[in-house]
Amino acid sequence: MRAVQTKPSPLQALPGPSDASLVVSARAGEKWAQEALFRRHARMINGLAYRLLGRDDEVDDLVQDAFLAALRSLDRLQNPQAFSAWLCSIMVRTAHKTLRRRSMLTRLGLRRGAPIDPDDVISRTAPPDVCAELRAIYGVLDRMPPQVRLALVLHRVEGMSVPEVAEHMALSVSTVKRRLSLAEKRLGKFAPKPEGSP
Amino acid sequence: MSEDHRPPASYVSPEITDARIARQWAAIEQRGLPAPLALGRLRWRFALLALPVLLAFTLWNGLGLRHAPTHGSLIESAEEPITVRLRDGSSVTLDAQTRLKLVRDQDSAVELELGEGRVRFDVTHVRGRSFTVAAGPALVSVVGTQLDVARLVRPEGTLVQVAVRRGVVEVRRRDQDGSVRRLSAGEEWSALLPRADAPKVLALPIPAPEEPVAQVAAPPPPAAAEAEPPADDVLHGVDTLQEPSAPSRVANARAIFARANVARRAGQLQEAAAAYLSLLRHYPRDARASICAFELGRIRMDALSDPGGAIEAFTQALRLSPRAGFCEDALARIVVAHDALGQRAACQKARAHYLSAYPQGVHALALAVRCGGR
Repeated sequence: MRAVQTKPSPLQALPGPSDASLVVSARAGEKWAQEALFRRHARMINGLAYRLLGRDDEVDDLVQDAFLAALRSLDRLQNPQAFSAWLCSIMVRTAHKTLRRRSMLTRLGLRRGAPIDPDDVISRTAPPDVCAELRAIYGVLDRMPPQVRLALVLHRVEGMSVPEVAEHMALSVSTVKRRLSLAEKRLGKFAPKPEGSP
Repeated sequence: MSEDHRPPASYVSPEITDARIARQWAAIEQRGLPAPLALGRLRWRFALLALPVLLAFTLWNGLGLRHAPTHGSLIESAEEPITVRLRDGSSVTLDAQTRLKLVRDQDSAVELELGEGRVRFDVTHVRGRSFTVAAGPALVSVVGTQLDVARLVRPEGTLVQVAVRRGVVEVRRRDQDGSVRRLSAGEEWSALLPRADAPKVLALPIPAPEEPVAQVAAPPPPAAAEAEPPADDVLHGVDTLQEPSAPSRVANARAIFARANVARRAGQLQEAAAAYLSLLRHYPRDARASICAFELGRIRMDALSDPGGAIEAFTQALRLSPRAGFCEDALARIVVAHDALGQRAACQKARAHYLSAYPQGVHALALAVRCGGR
């Protein structure tokens, strides 16, 4: 399931108010509408946050930050029906801030985070080839600059096209291409060598 | 490769339970949801927007611009006089029961129309900006002057009064072949314009001297505007004036040209020459300048016995309009003028110039006998 799809999610397909009407009510300060929006998109943004961070311990904070930011800037959403994609963009930007802060704290020696354990992140039901690819990605993710790792996850894990990644990260397509190129280089450099190779 | 086409993201998912979602929502609520209608933010936004407005209003008041009327405003006083300040800083004081309309308020021109009553203008001098006040058939143009203009409707007609308190103005009645009355500080001009055939009166843009003419002894107010001022008064002091605006320049040049022609037709050739010369000096780029120079040359040559001055004028006319219809005559007259002065070489040179330009010219034969013959 792609996290940033624009087609209605199964939840949206259920009878009930559309995203647009919920957004309108939420803008008016209706608490029930704000909660409905959150509950409708909670699984999607939790999943995206988890994949962007690569660990579970900071997901709750990131989800809360992103959703609050979304609610506070709801009046800037031009197309209320596109709430889902817009929320994803906010999540990506919030994750970027979190990763930058984390990177800075690590450099200053104020934070010592455990590296991502791919076995914890990847589902045991994943096919071997998908599992290998994800293992390669999550094995080196912590060694990449925030923008590079975000571009890589959105492209290779979320399955977004380069223009979609550019839109979610508020970058130009060429910048995203450069970030992805760098990510691929890092991926090749740090990828674990197959067993038996010299 | 896997046969499963699910994207990799579907294999990287946290454990999301309803309890976890409820906890997250509770935390979001605790951190503070946006207020209904974002009232708190709106208050701040309103405050942020109101602050510059408040500052501008304070400055506006502080600068005394509170009453600055806008384009098209009708300013009316009731039982008490009122003072308003225009955008350019000029002050306008309306007597009681006075109506004044701000017809135009631009950087290049300010135009007001006095409906009825009496108004005192203290006009701030702005270079290149014309300031005109229409009072019925009278039009007063001022530059950096303090004056009163009144338009008083009487049973016998409309009384128009102009009183200068500072600076110098000129008032021209358009119904009397452009006769001009020059008013200094303390002088007044008035005319009673009959209802039926109210004559047009025009006050020319008056150059304001650098220093207000405050020391001028106030002469007794003239009884009426019928007194004809000397024509030479028209452009006195122009050299010290600021350049008038384009519309004023055109109006001035047109008025001087008309006055010069009237004087010439009336046989007042000295006055005509003075007016032509005035136009040439002060408005050399005006479209009428070349014909003025030619007419000036003719008068100097034919009436004033001044062939040297005539040559100068004809040369200027040719320089201003080298393709004009009078060029052949001007060239021929230069030859004759040089001949009259006994300047043989210059005469021959001028004649050669004429013949090269007009080999079959109407003056060719007549010029052949000039300059001491061929």
